[in-house]
Amino acid sequence: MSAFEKPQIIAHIQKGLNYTVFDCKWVPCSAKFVTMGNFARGTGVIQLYEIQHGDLKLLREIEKAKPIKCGTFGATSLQQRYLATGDFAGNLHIWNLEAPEIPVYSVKGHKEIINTIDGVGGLGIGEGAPEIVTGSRDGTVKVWDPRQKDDPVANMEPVQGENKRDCWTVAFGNAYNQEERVVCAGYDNGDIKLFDLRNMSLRWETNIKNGVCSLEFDRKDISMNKLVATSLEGKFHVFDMRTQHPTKGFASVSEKAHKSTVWQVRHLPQNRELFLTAGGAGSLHLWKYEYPVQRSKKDSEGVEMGVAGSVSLLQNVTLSTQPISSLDWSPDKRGLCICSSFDQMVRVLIVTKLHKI
Amino acid sequence: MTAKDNPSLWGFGTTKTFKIPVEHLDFKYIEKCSDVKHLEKILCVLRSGEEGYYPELTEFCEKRLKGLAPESRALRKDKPAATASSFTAEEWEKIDGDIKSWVSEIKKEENKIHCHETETFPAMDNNLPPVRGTNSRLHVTKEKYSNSRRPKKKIPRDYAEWDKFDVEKECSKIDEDYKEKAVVKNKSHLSKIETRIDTAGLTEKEKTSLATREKEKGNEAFNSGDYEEAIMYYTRSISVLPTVAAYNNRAQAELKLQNWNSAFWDCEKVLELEPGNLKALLRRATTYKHQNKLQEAIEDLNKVLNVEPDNELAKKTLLEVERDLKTDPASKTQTKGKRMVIQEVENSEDEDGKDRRRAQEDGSGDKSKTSFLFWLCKNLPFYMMSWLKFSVSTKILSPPDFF
Repeated sequence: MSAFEKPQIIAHIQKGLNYTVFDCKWVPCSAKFVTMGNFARGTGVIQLYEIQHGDLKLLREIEKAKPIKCGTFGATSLQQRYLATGDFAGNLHIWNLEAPEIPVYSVKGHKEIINTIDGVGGLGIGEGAPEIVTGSRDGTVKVWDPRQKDDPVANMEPVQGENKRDCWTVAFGNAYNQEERVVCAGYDNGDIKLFDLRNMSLRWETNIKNGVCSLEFDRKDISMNKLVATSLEGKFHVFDMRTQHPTKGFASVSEKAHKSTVWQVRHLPQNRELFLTAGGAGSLHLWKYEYPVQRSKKDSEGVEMGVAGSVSLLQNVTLSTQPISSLDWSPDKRGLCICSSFDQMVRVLIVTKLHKI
Repeated sequence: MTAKDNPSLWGFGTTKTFKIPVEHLDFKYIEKCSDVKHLEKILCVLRSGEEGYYPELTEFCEKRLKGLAPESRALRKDKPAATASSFTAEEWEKIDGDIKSWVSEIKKEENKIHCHETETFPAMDNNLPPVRGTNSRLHVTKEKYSNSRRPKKKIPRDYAEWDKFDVEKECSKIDEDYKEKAVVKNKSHLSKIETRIDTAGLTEKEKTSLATREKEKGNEAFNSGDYEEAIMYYTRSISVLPTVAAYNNRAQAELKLQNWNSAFWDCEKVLELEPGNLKALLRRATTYKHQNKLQEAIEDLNKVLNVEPDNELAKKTLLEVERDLKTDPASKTQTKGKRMVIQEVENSEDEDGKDRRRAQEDGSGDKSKTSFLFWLCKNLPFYMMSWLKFSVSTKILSPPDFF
């Protein structure tokens, strides 16, 4: 692709904040987004911004007792647009941003900080009940249904006596009909475990040698197609999830980038083959996945095994010197995305020419 | 730093990192070098500036590496994000204007949803599926990747139970279990997806966005070669909101799977909704071509070329169809009668018949009669059968009427 046809990543709006921001998410069906983090005084904060006249306007600031680590809109309906957050004390709350004094749902889900959260079944994405999954430093991964108080719907925990490993990331996938759903969890020792929620069983596990920072299926609401796992030491792996070999598992291709921890991966909602990775040196890389000629082949014993494709770099930019901790593509506008970094900045980016790829 | 610390001053002549001989940092050497790894190392050294700052040499090395290995990781440069100044005024106007208009549009949409919220709120909760099972615990052991889960074995506890323990049976059970686990159903998802979506209680806007999302899923599946899956997603999109684009795309996916009939009907649907749709005409022409309806194919292709005389695909297909028409006009008329009856099989048989006839024309005179007889004997039973089917279907041999 010539330089003129390559997508360009434009830093459209940049805003400095007066708190450490951990996560940012677009409010679906709007030009607004929320940022979550903690003030220096040790309290949590959620801020709601809107893009207006080429700049950001702060609409609402909500302060809460405990610092907030992560949030998602994944399990809410388009009308309600409730934000589910996980905080440093292990509480899961669901907030109505119009009336944030009292949470719509609240539970002390974990004993330690909730590192990661994901939602499915809301926003018209994914069939079946809306559910939220949280992963925590206490090593457990719990699935919640906002209609069931106090108890999780499923709980994936290490057996008594085993060392518990921090769960750093979780992702929903395979939600293509009402029954099927999988949760994929990544841990600090490099374990990736795929739990099938329909059979309540462990479907696959592997270890990528470095702590798994971020996991994402390319689309939650189709039969699982690709899974990207990013890790420490600047590596990420793309697994082809269509063909599972009984012993070898899923085929994968790995790539080195960023020269430091790859903190996040986010697929473009409008095209599942494109994804952005965010790195510890403040850089963003835009990748495209290409399928191999044959996605599966037979091994020496005649059992089907997958064939991984290849990943090519479309564009890369360096935005800051501090890690970019969170990224989110706008579900409504192709190419619009926000990212937040540890230099207390939130940036609105425009990526051009994505429709041509 | 004394001369002792700096080996290059001693004339050792290699760089600190990678130990590349200093002579290699040279235009002539780089031009001739075709070892990608070595060039990458040279580029790294040049960029780091430890042997000095040579911008032209660095650029030259980059160009050479790009020529040999455009995907090389060493070519990745850190650059800042683009800003308004990186674009021409025109381009920036376009980008900025696009965003601004989207922002105002989406605000209007949002206000509409806000107004509807109070009215339609109660309807939503009832349609949701029930909460998943009871609180189920799944214990995860820290197993290494290679181990597979073994089922619980009933270990006999006393002598009486040991007597009943059948070693052979247990061994074969273990083997079977392993084989069962080995069968991982990989394509089962296709049958489990609903082809019709329940759209009760959705507004027009929601239906459109749902149909678009399903169609996009279909496009993605198509692009990765999963044509059956693509067709299923297009069907779902059509069940929510029939659109020209979804029918067209489904026709294309059917063509890839060679389902000529289904593709034909999808094209017909498009032309009903939008007569003169070029893609549909082109695809219908392809279905005609493969069903040997060459005249109809030519008509469709001509319609396309009337509107778009430069359409490459139309021109190419037209050439192919005209070629097909020229080479076998005889077989077309001969086999017309049979085609009515035996639709599935006749294509391959036709191919056979055509080939034989061609071979005949090329073959020598003496052998022609015998080979013709041979061919007749071979195909006669088939023709008899087909005539029988034909006659049965047209009721020549109808059962006698009883008065």
